Amino acid sequence: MKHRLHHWHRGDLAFVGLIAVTLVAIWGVLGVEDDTRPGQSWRRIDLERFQSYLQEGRLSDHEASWYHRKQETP
Amino acid sequence: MGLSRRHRIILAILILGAFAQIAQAVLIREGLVVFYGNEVSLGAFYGSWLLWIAIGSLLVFSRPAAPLAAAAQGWLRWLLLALPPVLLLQVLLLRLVRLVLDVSASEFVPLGQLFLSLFLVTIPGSLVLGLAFPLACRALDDATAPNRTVRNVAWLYGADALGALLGGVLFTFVLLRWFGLAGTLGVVMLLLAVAAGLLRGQGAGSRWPHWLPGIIGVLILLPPVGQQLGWQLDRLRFRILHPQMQLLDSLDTRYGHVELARLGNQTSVLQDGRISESFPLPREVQQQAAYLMAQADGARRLLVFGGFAGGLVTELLRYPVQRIDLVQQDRAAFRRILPYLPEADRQALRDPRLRVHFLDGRRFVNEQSPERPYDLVLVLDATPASAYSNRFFTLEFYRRVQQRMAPGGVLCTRVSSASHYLGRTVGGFTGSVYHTLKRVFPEIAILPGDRHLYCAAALPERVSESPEVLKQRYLAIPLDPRPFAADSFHTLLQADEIGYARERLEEVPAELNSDERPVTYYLNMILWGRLTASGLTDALERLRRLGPWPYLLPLLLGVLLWLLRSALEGFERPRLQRQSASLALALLGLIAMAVQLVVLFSYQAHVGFMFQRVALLNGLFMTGLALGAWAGQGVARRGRPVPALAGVLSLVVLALTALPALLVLLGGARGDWQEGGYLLLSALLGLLTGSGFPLAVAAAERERHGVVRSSGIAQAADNLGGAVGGVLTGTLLVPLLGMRWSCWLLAGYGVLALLPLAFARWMPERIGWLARRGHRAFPWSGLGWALLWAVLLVWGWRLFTPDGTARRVHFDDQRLAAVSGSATFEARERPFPHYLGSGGEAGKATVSLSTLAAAPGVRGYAGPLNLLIALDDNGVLRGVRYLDSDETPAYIAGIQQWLERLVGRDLSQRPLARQGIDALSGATVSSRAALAAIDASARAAGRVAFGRDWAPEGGGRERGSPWTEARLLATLALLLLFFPAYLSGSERARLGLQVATLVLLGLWLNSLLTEVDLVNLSLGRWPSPRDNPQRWLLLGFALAGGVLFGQVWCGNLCPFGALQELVSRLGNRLGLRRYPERRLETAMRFLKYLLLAAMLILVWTTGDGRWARFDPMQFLFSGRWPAWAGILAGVVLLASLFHYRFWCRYFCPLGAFLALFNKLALLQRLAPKRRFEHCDLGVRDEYDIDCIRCNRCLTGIDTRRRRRRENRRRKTGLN
Repeated sequence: MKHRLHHWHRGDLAFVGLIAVTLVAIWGVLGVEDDTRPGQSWRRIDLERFQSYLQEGRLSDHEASWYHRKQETP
Repeated sequence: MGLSRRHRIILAILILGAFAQIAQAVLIREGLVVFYGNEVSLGAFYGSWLLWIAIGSLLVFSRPAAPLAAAAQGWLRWLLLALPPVLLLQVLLLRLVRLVLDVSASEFVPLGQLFLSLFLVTIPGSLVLGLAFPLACRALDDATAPNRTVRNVAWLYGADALGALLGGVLFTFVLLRWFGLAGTLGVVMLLLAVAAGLLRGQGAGSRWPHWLPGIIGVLILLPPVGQQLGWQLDRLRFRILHPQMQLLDSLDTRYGHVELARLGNQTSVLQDGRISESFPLPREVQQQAAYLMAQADGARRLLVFGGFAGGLVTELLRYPVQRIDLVQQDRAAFRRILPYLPEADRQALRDPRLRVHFLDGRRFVNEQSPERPYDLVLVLDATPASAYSNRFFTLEFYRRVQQRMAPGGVLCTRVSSASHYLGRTVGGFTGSVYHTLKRVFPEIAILPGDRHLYCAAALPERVSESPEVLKQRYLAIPLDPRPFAADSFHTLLQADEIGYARERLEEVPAELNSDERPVTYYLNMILWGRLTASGLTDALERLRRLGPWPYLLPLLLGVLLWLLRSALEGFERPRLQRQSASLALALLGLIAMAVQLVVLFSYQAHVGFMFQRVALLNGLFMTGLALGAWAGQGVARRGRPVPALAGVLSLVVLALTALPALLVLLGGARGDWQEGGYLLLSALLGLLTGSGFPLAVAAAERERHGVVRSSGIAQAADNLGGAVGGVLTGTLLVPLLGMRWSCWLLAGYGVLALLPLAFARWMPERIGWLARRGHRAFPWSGLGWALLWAVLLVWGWRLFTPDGTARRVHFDDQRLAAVSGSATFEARERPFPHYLGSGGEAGKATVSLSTLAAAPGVRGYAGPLNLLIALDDNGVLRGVRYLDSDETPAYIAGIQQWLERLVGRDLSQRPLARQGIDALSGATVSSRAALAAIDASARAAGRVAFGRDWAPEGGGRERGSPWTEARLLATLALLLLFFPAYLSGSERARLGLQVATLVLLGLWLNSLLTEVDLVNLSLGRWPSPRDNPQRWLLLGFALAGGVLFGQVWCGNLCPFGALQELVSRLGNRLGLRRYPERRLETAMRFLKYLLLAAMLILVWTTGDGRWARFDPMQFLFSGRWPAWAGILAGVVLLASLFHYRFWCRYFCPLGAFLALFNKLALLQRLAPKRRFEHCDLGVRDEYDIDCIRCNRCLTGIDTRRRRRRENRRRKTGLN
């Protein structure tokens, strides 16, 4: 800001406090958590999640279908 | 010395220019060796080199009065002395980079780490060079008459460029050849000692700082010292790259760095740090020769590219061939390897059937006579891991080889792959070679392995994958003894393995590799990234799918928004001209660097030995820059630099448009004409782009006087642009877009640079109807425009990117069992993904599937709902789970419980939609969409899994048309009421409207416009107007109302806003309302724009709509509140007691978006005239962005000016 605040009144502090509390509540609603994000600690493997992804086919997108080829019904 | 001070400074800069060119070439060559010859290091190097030069310039020009600038000549002298040890340090750092990064010899350096290491290593040298130029300009200015700034800068620019040419020629033809790397460092020390000596003033203290580096330089030049030092440096690098191997010999060829090393009883040849051949490998060579000669049944004339050391050629000479033409890159390297080869290989060189040709493979093929065609051509020792070697895998190369082959000739080539599993990335990489080869040779036999061997022919049945056929062919060859057991063909060629490889290769999208667009080289980079777990790989994959337009967007948006801002806020013409000249200079710098890289890539593709010629090419380019600067200086002196700069830009655009055709012509030229053409082209491009530099300086100097600032700005802008151009072109543009589109994209940049120049020249400084809307509500106008730029840019990129959001249509057994009750599952993909279940507590056969897979066309408010459903073979619904959707949270809160009530329903006779099921309260449309999706999916699943017709359409109770529903009629009535309430300006009418809005849209219909609607619209997810006309009415009204009257939706028709308004009025009545200090309150109002920008960018980049689900109004009227939502709503309503419409004013992202319409408000003159003096919210202007059209200022009752004065007095009294 070009003009700095020189005097903080009680009301101003309360106002800023309300703003801050609201921001915290927004953060809570978004439910942001420190999850394993892509690119982080690629050496650490969450085995349970890995197992689930593997079974769902999310890791391979059916690229390994040669190994599990089934008779497709027409 | 009799030279004047001025001449000494210019001479010192000439020497500095030579040093810069030599240092560049040395570091580029080091980088190529460390990073296995991949030219992506070129772009990264140039980008960081120029960036740090720009930062160095900025450091000086930002503080022209600092001591550095005050004693410019003295500081310049010390900088020159510092450069040689800095260069030595940089060379050592590059040689140690793998050790520092802990990357072993067999691995590629991860891309991100490659960029980072180059970025950091270039800092010292280029920072010093960046400091040097403006200091030299200042020193020269001190030594000459005043008002000669432009001339002085041009002299120095010219000297620098001429020095670069001399350095390039010296390095290419003299230093490397006679002195090697260590000797080169010695020469450089000597030259810079001389340059520093030139700058030493009279009586300036001891001479030893200049003599000492000179003496050291001379010592290093002495052969014993220089050679030994060079050898130790080579050994150091080798020991770090390959700690297990013993280095036997090394040399620099024109193509790269070649080393010979031993491990046990095996010797290897390394090219640019990477093992290219190993010997002896007798078994492998015998097998290879047998396979190749069996494929090219009866081959008599062979052409082999490289690989003599591996022993294959010696083995092939045992076969009844008439002639083998062996093409080896470099004679000197060949001779150095010979003593280490087995005796049999050395003997083979005496065989009269063998002819060895020492020249580039592409050139050999171009110049070879077609009258002597070949039966078999082998390209087995290249790999498309660099632009240089990628040229042996391109369409142009295959076509040229085909012209040199007999009609039944066979071409065999090899590319990295994987033995048994071809994933997306590996398959794409090897597949691009396969498809490129197939474009020329329709018949291809595949031998799978860690490297796929492709044998290709034009004639059908010429090549074979049958082991029996190849065995018979092999046995028919008169060969005694047979080193290879013929039955081994059956082991070598496994039908299912070959079948799998072929199927995968045919499946991958065909990306053709060409000289003009070296896509395989780029795919190699992506593969490299995958193997090194580089975080950049996903971004590179996404970029691969885009065309050229996303690269144009940032600049296009930046220029357009800049001009819009100038028009809205008004501008001072001289200042705008200076800024547009600086932008033009930055873009010229970008174009210059980018086009030079295009030329380098083209040179590498067609000529091949850029490793040797890079210094010369760059030196010629710099010479062109210097000559251009001279020409530009002459024009600038005539006093009209801006039109001249526009002229230069126009010429650059024309040249870029024609450049692709010129490069194609050069590619087809022969021998020396070709190379000469490239050298001339480099010079001409430098000439054209260099002429802009003094013109931009002249335009900048007009407004700000001061040589340091002018030259600093100019060099910083030029180098920053060059840095961006280097990185962009080297790493992305040429490999992804190809040379043609890269040149045209650069031409687009040139056109964009013209726009601000034209605007600054011809637009009036103030345009009435625009300037009226230019009122700035916030002091951070720049930040606001930057946010707008960022949001529009991300949205634009999102539009070009295919929607990669993966919706779940595949599931694990655990989840399927929980929904269906079955124990085992069989996955099927056609016609849509589904699972057949059996066993378990279900006791019957079941089918489970995602509704998105089977019925993607069924839509709710904002697109399809994704549910996991399971049915048994009687058509009974066994289970339903909600997965995801794009609906507003309020409409799907509680949907899971509602869905569970459907379990057990029989769909075999009637669909759910006709079973009289009550909709989910407050979410009629979404729940109807869920029922429709289940019905459609059941219909499809029943047919596919069990051959039954479930959920037949027709029969049962049909619901009424949405056009006659009460919700639509009530909404229409409310919107019609808006007009008299708003236009009359009546406080009571407006309050009545607010209450009606709250009750109808909020409490009864729970039908609000929220950020989720904004996000869905931006992603092209529209509600269906036929099924949901009420939603269309609301959306349309909000947008149309905004265009016509401004932000009327927020002030009059938003239910949540209405609730806050009523709470705020209550608070005012109770005397609770407070008014924070004006500037603080203004700052906080900006917060909602930040939230809007952050929300949109996060949603668009992550594809996760969750980032838009935090507004309390998305939950408030549904009655079902997630954990924190209740707290948030409570805080907001409580705060509204004290501050008018707390959420609307400081947090609402939708309100921030609709506020932009306040700049339009085309018919606001029809609305009651506002009284800004009564506004308690800081609105002071007709087009103020923050006016929500509440019209409280008309009566001033709620704004209570008297009460605000009392509050202020109270506060002042307290203090």
